[in-house]
Amino acid sequence: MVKAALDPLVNKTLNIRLFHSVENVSDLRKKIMSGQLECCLVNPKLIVDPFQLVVAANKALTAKNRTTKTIFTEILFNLSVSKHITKSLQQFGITDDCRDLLVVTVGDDDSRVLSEIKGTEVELGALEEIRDLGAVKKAYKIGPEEGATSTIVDSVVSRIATKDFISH
Amino acid sequence: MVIALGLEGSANKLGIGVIKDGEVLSNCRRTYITPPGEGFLPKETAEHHRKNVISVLRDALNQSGVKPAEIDVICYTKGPGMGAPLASVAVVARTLAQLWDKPLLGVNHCIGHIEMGRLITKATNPTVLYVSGGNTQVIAYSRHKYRIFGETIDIAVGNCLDRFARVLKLPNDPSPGYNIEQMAKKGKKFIELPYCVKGMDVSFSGILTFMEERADKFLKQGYSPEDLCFSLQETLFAMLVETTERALAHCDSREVLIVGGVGCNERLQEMMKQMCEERGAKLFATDERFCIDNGVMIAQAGYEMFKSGTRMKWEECFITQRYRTDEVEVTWRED
Amino acid sequence: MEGFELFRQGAEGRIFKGVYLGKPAIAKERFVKKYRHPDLDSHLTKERIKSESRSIIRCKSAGIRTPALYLVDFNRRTIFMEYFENSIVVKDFIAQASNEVISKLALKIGAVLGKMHANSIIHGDLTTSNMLLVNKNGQKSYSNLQDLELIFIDFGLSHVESSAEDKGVDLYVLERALISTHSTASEIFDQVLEGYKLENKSGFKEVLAKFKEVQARGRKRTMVG
Repeated sequence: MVKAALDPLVNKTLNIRLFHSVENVSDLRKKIMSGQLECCLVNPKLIVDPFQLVVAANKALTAKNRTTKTIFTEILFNLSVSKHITKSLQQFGITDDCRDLLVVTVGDDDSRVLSEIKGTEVELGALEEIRDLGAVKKAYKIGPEEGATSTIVDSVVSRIATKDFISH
Repeated sequence: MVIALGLEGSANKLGIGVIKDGEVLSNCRRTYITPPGEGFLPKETAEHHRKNVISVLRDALNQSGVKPAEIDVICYTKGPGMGAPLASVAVVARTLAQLWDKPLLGVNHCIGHIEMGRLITKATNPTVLYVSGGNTQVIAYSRHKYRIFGETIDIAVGNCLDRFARVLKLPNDPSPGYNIEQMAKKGKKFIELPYCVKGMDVSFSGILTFMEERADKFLKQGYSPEDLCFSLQETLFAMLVETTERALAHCDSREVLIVGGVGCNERLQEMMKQMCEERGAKLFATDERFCIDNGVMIAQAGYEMFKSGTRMKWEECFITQRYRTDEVEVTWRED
Repeated sequence: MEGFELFRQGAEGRIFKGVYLGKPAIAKERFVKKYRHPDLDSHLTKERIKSESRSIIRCKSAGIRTPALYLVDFNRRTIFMEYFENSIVVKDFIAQASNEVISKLALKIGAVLGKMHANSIIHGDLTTSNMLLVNKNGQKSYSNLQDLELIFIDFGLSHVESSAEDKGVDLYVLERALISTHSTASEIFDQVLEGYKLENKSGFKEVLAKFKEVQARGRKRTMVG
């Protein structure tokens, strides 16, 4: 897992965990939607590096006004460069048939959320095998020229940081 | 000991002054004032200078208590400025030099402002904002030149203010800029105007056109003439302070000196002072006696040139309407 | 700001250095300038934060290295971005480099600028204080130009414009900044133009003509009073 410090103003920690072979995805999604479970489930295919989640979550938590209903939908929304809410949530969220997923929580203790997940936690380094760089470049509109000078993480987080006032 | 006589008439002020080793012995001035709504034109301005030059010269000599024989060098404005007024004063300077058999020096008007400002305020190596009816420059000294870091890419800030004063038909007495300043003090509502900074350069013509086209409309919408003056000043001066700050940051300088006619505007001085305080720098400014064009500043710059060994041949003592600040080799500074 | 220390006070705001979200970062705060009217101040600040972010991203897309952005916070008037460790400001680099090295650097400057212009990015504030040389090998050494990457910063006055006029003005601003700062300015600028030509081949002729026009306007300007 990764624990990341957010903006000093927020003064909260972000917890990121990666799971394999999760069996109760549909159940988890229902609980999140009903507000029983406070976390965000992210499709790891489009995540290059945990830092990408940190920047998106930090943006959600420092924002004065949110675009979406909860902090967790806001994180998903921020991950996408699209200004379209439903499209963003579909792009970065998970579907019932997903077995690999990233779990993002805010706060010191994420044991309550953890206890609900029926799957195997793995190191975040395993992202490298799951992520689809081609799909990431497409999702964030990163061309070949850009890849030559910036790392893909830098390109991705810079777009996340500016999505609300720049059309990407 | 060096005594210098200076004659200035590049625009609508005719000024003559005497300086002795940094001590101002006299500083006399007469201004050509046109009716409200009208600017000054070269022909009439030259006429004014010709009519008044002898009496201003008499005043300057009498006040200084200096006899012609005691004068070491005669200095006049070589440029930049309006041709006819420049020539009308240069002729007098040439005549005096021959009559009294004195060396003659043609002085760059902008350098006159800078050297006078340095003398009066004791600023040692300031970043200079030179603002007047004809000039808007951000200047810093380096390697024996006063180098232009930024400037207006179209009209001067003073010109912009003067022309707006004409739109409102404000009197030209004592000066249009002064009257705008007084009106602006009573302004309350701020109107957003175009703001044009390009690096260290500024542009004012767009703002002037904007104001000229919309002044009537704003007045009908309930804005007062005071509000218009206030908004214009706030916008123009913010641009000047910002570009000065850019030069300051680039040069790592700790001193700002404001010179030129617009430099006596108290609001501009106040804004510049706030900027300086925010970055631990110090503001130096002078009052209308030395900010507004005058003869003693020409004497002071000429004095420095003379002392450092500059001499001009008779053929070099002409006038030129275009004479950039960075054309002059600064021979009197050692840093 | 917690965890940050003042690094320098630039022309537009205060630059703080620290660690943000676990990365070495710069916080560029465009603090309230008390000298200007509050309406004007908040309007300009917002515009500049947007311009800076927009051009940084646009440069990235064009393959020009710029700092990564971590958070753009309009309430705090601050951009949090990547800090380049082991970097030197070009102005300071030139002051201690040999003419031969400076000439090579100038070629680089021109090439990056040409590429920016070819992608319609006008920097708006080109000075040697707004360019960094970063050591690519993570060492604090600036002796070998080949190990250094040139990075343009301070895009607050930038805008997107494809016309040759604005590109000409951009070059003019740079030329003047060079003249006022460096004794070998004209040699440096000639090399900048050479480098520019390489990266903006199709636009070069027109931009150069505009530059000459802007330059002539400056020299011929009559000044009165």
